[in-house]
Amino acid sequence: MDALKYRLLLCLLLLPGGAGFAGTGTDQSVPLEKARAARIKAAFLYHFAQFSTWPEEVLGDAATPIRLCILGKDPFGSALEQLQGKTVHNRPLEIRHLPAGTSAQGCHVVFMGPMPERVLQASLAQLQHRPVLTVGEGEDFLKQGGIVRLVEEKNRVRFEINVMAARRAGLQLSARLLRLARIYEEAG
Amino acid sequence: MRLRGHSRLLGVLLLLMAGSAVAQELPDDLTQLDLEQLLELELIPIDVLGSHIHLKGQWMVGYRFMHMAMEGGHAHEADYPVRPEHMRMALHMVEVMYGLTDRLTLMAMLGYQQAAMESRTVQGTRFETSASGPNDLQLAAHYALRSRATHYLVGLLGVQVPLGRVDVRDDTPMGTGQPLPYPMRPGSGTWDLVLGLTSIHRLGDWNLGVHGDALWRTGTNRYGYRLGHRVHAGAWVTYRVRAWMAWTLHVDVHVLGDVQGHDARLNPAMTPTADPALQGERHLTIQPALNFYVPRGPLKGMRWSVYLDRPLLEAHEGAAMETSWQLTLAWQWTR
Repeated sequence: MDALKYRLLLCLLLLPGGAGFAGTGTDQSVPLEKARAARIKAAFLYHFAQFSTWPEEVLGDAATPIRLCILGKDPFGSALEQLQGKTVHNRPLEIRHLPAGTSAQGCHVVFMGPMPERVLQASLAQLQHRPVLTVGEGEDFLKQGGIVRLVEEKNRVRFEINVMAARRAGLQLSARLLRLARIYEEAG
Repeated sequence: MRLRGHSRLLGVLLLLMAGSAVAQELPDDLTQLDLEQLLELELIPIDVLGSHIHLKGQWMVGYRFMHMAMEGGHAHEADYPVRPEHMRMALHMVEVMYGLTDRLTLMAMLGYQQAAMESRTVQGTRFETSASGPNDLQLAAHYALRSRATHYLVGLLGVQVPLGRVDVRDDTPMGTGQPLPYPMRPGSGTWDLVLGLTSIHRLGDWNLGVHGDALWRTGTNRYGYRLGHRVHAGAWVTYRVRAWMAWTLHVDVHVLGDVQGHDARLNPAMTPTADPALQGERHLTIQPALNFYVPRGPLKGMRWSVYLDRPLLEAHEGAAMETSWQLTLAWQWTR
């Protein structure tokens, strides 16, 4: 094989990997791994609701749905579709989207999406002592009074629980949920 | 260039390819999984198609065994009083990788080489020499320039530490304890620089990759020479047949430069393997491989690969010995 053939072959092999596969979905607006993470986290939200118990007076009659509210920017997109038509504690699960900074009155589970720190703190302060399961992802979410934090770690999704915050909210979390969680201890 | 017949093997690969592909994708409704199962789901799936970056805190331990058989018989050899006839080499390679961050993975790789060469003098005397010992240690960093579920672009920068012995000796008809020629030496004796770039596309059950790397030798060793620079370019396609099995077809081009300078203890006129000007080579190989993976259970994350026997196609230039067949067994465990 002469030198020219080798050079040609090398050029072909070293072509940028993307060149030959344009339009195969590598540059979608939501990268595939983010969509995969969103689907896993959405399923966790469903289980968090399943393994939480609210005071009787909060739930109302049997037809009252369990409301899962996404407060602020929705990071789940179509991942929430897998929760459509589900029931929690024999009640329909209802999904609501609320703008950041608005009241989450009537929600049973609130996922705090990305929002300015100040708005997040105000929302958490508003929900303190109310029977609302707050879920977030920020590093200081539990320190700020949130109840459950989802964490991406070692290529998997883990969750941490602030048991004191849950107790203040009047929520009961199942032993199984607590066994699988990393427990956050409040300072002092 | 020689085309080697492997029609049976290709037939098996085509049959496997035609078989139903069962992708290990997420179920449509993840709420049906229990919490324990959700906690086990990987954000970036590590599967039979391989893991090309290691996320923060992830370890990968690997072991590779290669056995090569090489043949002499080149035209140049008639000019030398000692001609190499066969060479066998076994290489045990251990590699450890650790994800320092989601993008940066550190790697250490060390091989142990056992080589034996049969030669014949013009008078017809046959003799065998052998040498063994650790190779040079490679320390490198892999950096994910782009990391998507469907596309990885990973850069490699590393250094090869001259741990391997250069002074290996054995008895020959010329005397006892003679220094052995360049191909028998496990080490280079020089600090070398390693550069590389890998691009991998995942398209469903297919994995398509291209890779290029270069080994740049620096300075000369204590015996007054350095080995040739080395360039390698490869491309491969992997197809997942089952969650636990995939096949791969590799195409690789290796270019090795001649030895620069020379070891004054060797007589370059004695044998082609001692002639610095004949150590360069270029060859192209097409190699099939089978990969196996443990997708669940306590051994989850283990991967075995078998690179099947000899190259299907080999174009070879240079006076160094030509590979007649090669077997590689690889084991990896990512946690």
